[in-house]
Amino acid sequence: MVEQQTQENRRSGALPHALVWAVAVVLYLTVGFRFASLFALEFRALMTNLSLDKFTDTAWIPWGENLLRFAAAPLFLFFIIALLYRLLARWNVAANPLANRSFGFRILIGAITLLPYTAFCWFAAQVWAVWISVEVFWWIQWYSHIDPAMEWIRANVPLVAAPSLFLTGVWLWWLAWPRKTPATRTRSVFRWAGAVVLLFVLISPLTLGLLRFGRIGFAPGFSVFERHCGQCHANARPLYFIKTPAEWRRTVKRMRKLENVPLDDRQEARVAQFLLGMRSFSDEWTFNTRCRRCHVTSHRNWEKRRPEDWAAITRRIARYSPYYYRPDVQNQIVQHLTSARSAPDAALGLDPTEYDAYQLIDKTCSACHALSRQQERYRQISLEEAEQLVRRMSEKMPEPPTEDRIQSLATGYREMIGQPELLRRLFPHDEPVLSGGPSW
Amino acid sequence: MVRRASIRLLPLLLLVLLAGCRADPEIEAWRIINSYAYPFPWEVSVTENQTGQEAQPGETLKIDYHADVDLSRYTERYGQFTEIIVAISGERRFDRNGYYRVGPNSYALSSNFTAAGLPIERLDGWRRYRLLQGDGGSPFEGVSSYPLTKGEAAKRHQFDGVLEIALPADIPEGYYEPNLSVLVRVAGVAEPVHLRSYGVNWNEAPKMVLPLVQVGKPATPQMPWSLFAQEYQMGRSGVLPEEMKGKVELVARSGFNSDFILRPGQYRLNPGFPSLFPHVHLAPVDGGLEVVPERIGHQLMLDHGQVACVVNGPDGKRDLGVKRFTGANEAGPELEGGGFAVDMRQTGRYEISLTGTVQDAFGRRFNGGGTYVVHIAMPITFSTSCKPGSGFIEGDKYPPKVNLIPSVPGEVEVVVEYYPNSDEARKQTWIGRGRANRFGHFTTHGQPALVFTEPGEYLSRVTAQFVDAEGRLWMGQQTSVGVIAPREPEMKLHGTRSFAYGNRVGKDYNGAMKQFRDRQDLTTSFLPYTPSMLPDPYAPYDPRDTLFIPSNGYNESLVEPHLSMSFDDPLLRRRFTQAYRLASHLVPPAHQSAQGAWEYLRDVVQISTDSFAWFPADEGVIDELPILPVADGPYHPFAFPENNRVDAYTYMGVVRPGFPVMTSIYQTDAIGLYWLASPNRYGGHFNTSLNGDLAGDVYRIQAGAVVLDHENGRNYYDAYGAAIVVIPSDGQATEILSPGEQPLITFNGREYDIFLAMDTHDAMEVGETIHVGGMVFPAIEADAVWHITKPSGEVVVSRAKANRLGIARGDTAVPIDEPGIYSIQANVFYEGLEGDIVGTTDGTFWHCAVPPGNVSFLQTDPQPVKKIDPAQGVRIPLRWPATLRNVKIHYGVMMPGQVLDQGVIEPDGQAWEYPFEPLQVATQYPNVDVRNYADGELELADTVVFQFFVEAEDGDGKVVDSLRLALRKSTLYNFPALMNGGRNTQPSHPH
Repeated sequence: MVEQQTQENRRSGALPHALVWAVAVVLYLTVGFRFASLFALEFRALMTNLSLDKFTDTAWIPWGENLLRFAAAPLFLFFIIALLYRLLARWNVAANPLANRSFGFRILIGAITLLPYTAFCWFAAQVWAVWISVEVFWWIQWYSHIDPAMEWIRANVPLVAAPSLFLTGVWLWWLAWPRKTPATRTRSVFRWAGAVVLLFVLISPLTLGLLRFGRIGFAPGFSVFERHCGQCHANARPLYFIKTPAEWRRTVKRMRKLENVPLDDRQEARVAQFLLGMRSFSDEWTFNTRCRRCHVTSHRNWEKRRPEDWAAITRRIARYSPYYYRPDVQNQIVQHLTSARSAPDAALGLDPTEYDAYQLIDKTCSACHALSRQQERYRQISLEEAEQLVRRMSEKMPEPPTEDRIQSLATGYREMIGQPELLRRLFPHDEPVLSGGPSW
Repeated sequence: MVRRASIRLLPLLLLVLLAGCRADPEIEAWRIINSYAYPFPWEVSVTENQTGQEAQPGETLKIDYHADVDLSRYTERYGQFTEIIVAISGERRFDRNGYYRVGPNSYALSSNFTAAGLPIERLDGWRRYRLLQGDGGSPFEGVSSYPLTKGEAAKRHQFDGVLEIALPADIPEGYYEPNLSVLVRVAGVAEPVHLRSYGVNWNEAPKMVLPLVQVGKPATPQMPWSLFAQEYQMGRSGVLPEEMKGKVELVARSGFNSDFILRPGQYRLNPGFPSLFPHVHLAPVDGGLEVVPERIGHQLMLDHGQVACVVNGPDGKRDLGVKRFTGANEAGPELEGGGFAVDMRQTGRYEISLTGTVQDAFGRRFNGGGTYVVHIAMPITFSTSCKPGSGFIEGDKYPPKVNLIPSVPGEVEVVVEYYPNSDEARKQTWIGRGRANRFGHFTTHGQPALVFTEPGEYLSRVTAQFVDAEGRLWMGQQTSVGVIAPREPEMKLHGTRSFAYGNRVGKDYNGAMKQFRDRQDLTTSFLPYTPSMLPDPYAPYDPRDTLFIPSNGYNESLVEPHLSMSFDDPLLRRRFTQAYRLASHLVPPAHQSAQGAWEYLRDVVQISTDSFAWFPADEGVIDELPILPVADGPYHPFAFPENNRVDAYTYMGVVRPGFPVMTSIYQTDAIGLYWLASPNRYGGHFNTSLNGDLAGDVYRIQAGAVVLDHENGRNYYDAYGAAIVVIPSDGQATEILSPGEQPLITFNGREYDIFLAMDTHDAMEVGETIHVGGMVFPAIEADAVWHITKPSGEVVVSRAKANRLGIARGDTAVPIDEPGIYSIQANVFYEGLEGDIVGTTDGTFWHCAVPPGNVSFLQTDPQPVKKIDPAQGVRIPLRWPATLRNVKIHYGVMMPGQVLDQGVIEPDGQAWEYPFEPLQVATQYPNVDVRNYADGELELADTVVFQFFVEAEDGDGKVVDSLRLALRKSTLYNFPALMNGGRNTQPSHPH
C-alpha cells in the first residue's frame, strides 16, 4: 500500500521537487547567506582587531570568513529540503526521496553536511563570544571589570558555544530525516517546539547569543555598509565599538561630511541603523541594564512622572558613575521612561501647585546640595532658621532670588525637609549611593 | 674556539643567552628574529665572533650574515620593491670615560642636558643611516643590499651577505651597541623604508641588538644603577648616584627632577638598571609609556656580579655587607635574599653607598652604583606662583610666593638659577630663604626680586622642610624650568594644527585645522585593541584657543601636546626647513586608505612620528617646524651632540591645579609623549586619583622652546601657554575652540567663559604684602582688575593686562597694615567676555591677616594626622573662650584652582563646626574625586584647604585668630596639633 502511494507521488511530476530545491536555495540566499555574511563580518571584526597585536597574521582571515559564509550551507540546504519533503510527503504532494534510504546514503549525506558544519561551529563560536561580550559590556558598571570580563568571554564562551552549535546542528540533522513511523502532525509540532525550548534553556550561551542574533538579524543597511565603509578604513573597524544610538548617528553623519562618503540621506540612515543593530542598544534595553540591575521588578510599581522629573532622577544617579550613566545613556533612559511611565501633568498624587513648589526647591538647591543630606542636618529647622539658611545660600547664587522667592523657598523647604517619606518619593536617588546593586 | 649563542625573541634574550654562552655546541649564531615586522617578518643570523668584541678606529669590521626575509604578503599596493637592505648601526653606549650615552632614543635616561642641567629626552622614529639617507646616522654603520627582480618580490627571500663596517679614524672611542634593521628600497621613493614600518605597531618593537663592540681603549663602563625604581612617589621613580650627576640622569615625566623624597618605611635595596629596564624607571603617567621598552636586549649575565651596600642615615652608619646578583625579573636585576633590607622609618637624610660589578657574556666587567642621597620625610606639597614649566617674558620678575600644604611654618628656600642667553658663564643665582608664617604662607619680603632682564632659561627649586614636635621631618621640593621669551620673538612657539578626522594625506584639510568642532567622538573598544586610526588631539595652534576633551574613564581620550615653531624671517625659515626636511616618508599603515596604493609622503617635515603630524616642507609658507637640533655632519644630533650646529629643545610642564600632569624636556618628534585623560595615575601625586581627569578639570600647557644656533651665534626663545578643559563624556567630539565659543566649565549653575586661577584665602601676618596675580583661562591677554577692600574699608585697585601667556600680575602691592579680612573682588575681561574666580559668586574672596605673634585662641579637635571616611567626611569643630562676644567666623574652603565654599557665620555660644562631606561637595563640583570609577570604591584624592578666620571682641577690644587645616586625599592635617607634639591644641586666652 505504502509502495503504491509512493509510486503515485513520484508520478506527480518534477515540479514539487524543483520547488523544494528552489525554495531551499532562495531561503539560503535570503536568510542563510545573509546571516552567514554577518557571521563573517563579525569574525573579520574580531580577527582584524586581534591582529592589531603585533604578532598576529591576518592572511588567514578571509579564509575563515569564507568558511563561515559557506560551510554551513550544506546543512542548511539539507535541513530545509528534508523538512519541505517531509511536509510534502505528509500532504501527499510528493514523495520524500530521502525516505527509506540506506545507511550508507545517510552517512554520505552526514559527511557532506556535518563535516563542514563542524568547522563552521568553531569559527561561529568565536562570533558567538563576540555577541555575548557585546551584551555583557553594556551591563558592566566599573571599568576595571570590563577587560577581564571581555577576555574571559572570548576565551571561554567558544568552548561551550562550539559544541552547543554542533549539537544543535546534529539535532536538526536528525530531526530532518524522515521517520520510519510517521508521527501525527500535532505530536510532531509539540515535539519540535519542546525540543527547541529545551535546547535553548539547556544551552544558555546559545540563548544569550541568539538574543543578539535576533537583534541584528534583520538590521538593514548591511550591503550599504559593506559597500561604503571599507574605503578608508577596514570595514569591520566600526564593529570594535559599542555606542549609543545618538553617537552612531553622529559618527555616520560626520564620516559622510568629512570624508565625502557618497551616501544619500536614506543610505546614511541605513548605515546608522545597521550599526545600531550590531553595536548599540535600544532605550528600553539600556534602561534594563542601568536601572533594572537593582530595580529588578519593582520598576513596575513606579508612579508616573513628568519627563523633566525623570531627567532629574537620572542625573542624580549619574553621580554614581559619570561614565556608566553618561549623558547619552541618561537620554536613552529618560526617553524610555518618558514613553513608558510619564505624564505631562503627573504630580505623584500631590496637589499640582504644591508639587511644583517642591520641584522648584529641588531645582534651586540641588545644583549644589543633596536634599537628603540637608534633611539629616535640618530636619527640625524652624521657619526663621530656614529663611536665614536660604538667605545665606542665595548670596552664593549666580542670580539671587527675590524676597518673595526666598520666603516661599524657606516655607517649602521646611515642609519638605520635615517629611522624609515625601522627600524620598519626590526625589529618588537624591541620597548619594554608597553601596548596593551588583558589584560589577 | 668559537662560542655560539642564540637569541630567540628578544624578551627571552637573557635566558637563552645564558644557556647559549655556555658553549652549547648546537647553537650556531646570533639570530635576530623580527616577528614584530608583520607583514614582512625577517630573521638575520650573525656569527657571534664576527661581530667583533673589539675594534680600533680606522678598522673595518666584516660581519657575515644570513638573512631570511619573508615578503610573501607583498602586494602591488606597497609599490615596487627593488632592493632589500640589511643595515647595522652602532649606538655609542658608553663613552671613552666609561659613562653611559644615549642613542637616538633616550627612554628613561639621558646624557644630554639643558643649560640648566636637566636631562633632555628624545624618542625618535625610524632609525636613519648616514650610508643610506646621509644624515642622522652613526660612525659605526654597515649596509648590504639584495636586489629584487620585478614581479618576484612576493616570496620568501633567503640570502647571505657581508656587512662591512668601516670605522672612521675619528670615531669617538667607547662601547657601541650594534642594532640590526632590514629595509626595502621602493621604486620612486627617495629613501629606503624600514620593513617594520609596514606593520601596525611601529613604535613598540624591541631593539634588535648584537653584543657590544669595544672601539678603541675606553675606560671600564660605569653603568647607571638606580635605587628605589619601584617606589614612585610624587612623580619620581628612582634615583641615580651623585657621581652620575651631569653625566647621565633619569628623565622625569611627572615633575621635573628634584631631590628624591620617600615616606618613612622599611625598604629593600635592589639596584635597578634603567639602561636595560627603562620602563620601570618612569613614574607612571598613563599613556605613552608603551614606547618605552620594558627591557632592552643585552649580554649581561645578571647572576654574575655582586653589590656592597653601606647606609649612612640619621640613626648612624650601617654596613649591610655584600650580596650577589641572582638573576632578573621583569623590573630588573635581583640580589640574593631579595636585596638589602633597610629600616628607614626614621626621617632625615640618608646617604646610601651601593657599588658593585656585573659581567657580560664575554667576561667583560661593568661597574655600577655610587652614593645615593635620599630624604625620608613626610610629604610637603606646594601651591606656588611659579608652576612647573612656567614661562616668562623678558622683564618679568620671578614670583617667589609659596603656600605649604600642610600649613606649617617650615623653612623655605627658593633658589632660582637664571641663564641669560643660555650662557652658563653668566648664570645668576637668586636665593630667597626664610620661614613660612604659621599658616604655611611664604614670600620674600624686602628682598629685591629677580628680574629676567633678557631672554634665556631658568631653573627654580622650592624646598621646604619642617620638623614637627615629635621630631619628624616634613619635606617637599618642587622644580620648575622654562624659558624667558623675548617680547617680540623671532622664533614663534605654537601648537600644532590638528586633523579633522584621521589622516588623509592627500586631502586639502590635512594639517590645516587650527580650530575645529565635532572632530571625533571617541568611545571604548570592547575588543582588546583600539585602533590607532584617530590622531590624538594636539596642543592648540593658537594658544588663545582651548582644547576640550572628554573624560570617559576608559582609555580613549588622550592629549598629545605637540608643539612646533615658525620663523617670520624667510632666511631662517628656509634654513631650518632644509635642515629638517625628509625626502620621503611612509604614511603609517593605520592611516593608509583601506583600498588603493599605499601613500609615501615626499618632502615633508615631521612633528611627530606616532601621531602623524607631517607638513609639506614648503620653505615659502611653512609655519610648523619641529624643534630639533641640527648636526654638523652625518651623525645623529642627539646621539652625537658634540658638534651640533644647532641645539634645540622644548620645556613642557602641563599642570592641573595642584600637580604636574606631565613634564618633559624633549626634542620634537618624541613619540609617545602623551597622556590619557582618564584613567591615569599621574605619577602618584596628590590631587589626582586613578580616575585621572573628571569633567570640570582644567589644564594649562606651559612650554618654552630653546634654539641655540651655534653656527650664527644667536639663540631663539619663545614661550607658550594654552588651556585644556575636560568635559563630560557625553559622546561629544573633541574640539578646539576660540574664547567664548563654549563655556569652559559650569559649576553651581554658573558658566565660565573665561576665569582667573589664583590662590585665594591666604592667611598672612601684619607686615606682609598682598601681591595679586593669576593665570587667565584660556591663555588670553585679558584685562584683570582686583578691588581689595582692607579691614578699615579702604579700597585699593590693582590692575593688570595678562601677557601673551595668560599671566596677569597686579600693578599694585597691598601692604598688610592691619589685622582682619582683606576682601578681594577679582574680575577678568576680554573682548566682551567677563569672568572671575571659579567657585565664587562674583569673583569675591578674601585673604586674612593676624598680628605677628598673635596668641592663638581658636581651637580644633582633629588629631595631627587623621584619616577620614570618604562616605562620612569630617566635621571640623571650632571652639573659643566663653569670654568672647560678637564672634564672627569667616570660612573659606578651596581646592587648587577653585573655591569650594566660603561664607561668614555669627554663631551663638562658643563652638561651631564646619561639616565637609565629600559626596555632597561632589554633587556641586563633579571634578572632586570621591569614587574610584574603576571599581566603585569610595576614595578621596584631592587637596582641600580649610581656612577659618575669627573676629570677636573681649574686654580689651577686638581680637582675631586664624586656623588652617588641609585635607590631602583622605588624610586631614591639623597643623596646630602637629606643632603641639601630636596633642590637640589647648585652650588659651587671647590676652
